[in-house]
Amino acid sequence: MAPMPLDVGNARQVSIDGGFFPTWSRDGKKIFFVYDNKFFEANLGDDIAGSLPAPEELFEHGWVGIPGRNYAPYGTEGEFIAVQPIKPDVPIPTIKVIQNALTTSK
Amino acid sequence: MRTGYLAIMGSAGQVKEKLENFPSGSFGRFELSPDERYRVLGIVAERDDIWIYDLLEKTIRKVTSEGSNHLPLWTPDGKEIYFGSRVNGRTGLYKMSAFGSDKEKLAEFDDWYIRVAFGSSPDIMLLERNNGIADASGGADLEGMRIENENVNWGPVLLPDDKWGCVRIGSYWKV
Repeated sequence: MAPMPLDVGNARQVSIDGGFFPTWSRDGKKIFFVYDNKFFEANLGDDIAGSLPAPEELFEHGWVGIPGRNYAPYGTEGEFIAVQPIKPDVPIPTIKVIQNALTTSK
Repeated sequence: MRTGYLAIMGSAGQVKEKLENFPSGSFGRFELSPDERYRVLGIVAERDDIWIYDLLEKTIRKVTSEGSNHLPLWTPDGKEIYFGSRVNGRTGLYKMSAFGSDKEKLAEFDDWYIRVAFGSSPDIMLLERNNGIADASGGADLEGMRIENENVNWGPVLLPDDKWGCVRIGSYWKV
């Protein structure tokens, strides 16, 4: 996070092992970001200029790549709107092929 | 081909509600309106277009009809949408009303994409181009603005108090 007017030279690092697509919570007290299929939250509280807390992992999320951040904080109960990966609803049927079955059974 | 679907997720990551009625195509960047009723998003189908989805009515409508359109963003008052539109090898930064009318080109660049981030008002703005970010707050000459922070990109966001921004820095995906 960097002070405005944008001063990247005085930016402070929020993530530890890596992170991308950050955004603020609606109340401006948290920073969310993602890394390695996981959602993280850094709870800054009221003292944004104070010491930065270690980010906490919220949950894992199967990532769907889109051009930009693929989630957004929503509502007041910690919800998100996000792009979810499509998973097949039913198992994919398998077909077993036995070549020359009649010949080999003789 | 669609690779995902949009859903409301609970705080533990569970899917609470699948959002329906989207046209076929891949999703682009989406942003909620400040009142959280509408979502503006890009959908790549026959062309790249900007759509507005009503989270209450579960309806969607397309608000662009020409160019390759991307990276829409609401102004903080929710009355306008800024977006990039690429036509004939040039990318324009446009704004339009929240209903998709009154499109106006604000600037034009050689870059293949343009993205903005707002603070408390459109006067507090970061301009992201292919090669970095400029603090465009109060800037009138967007095309002549010097781009700095070459190692900073991929979607900066500003706090509404205009005091802090959150950016990705470096090649190691640090936030």
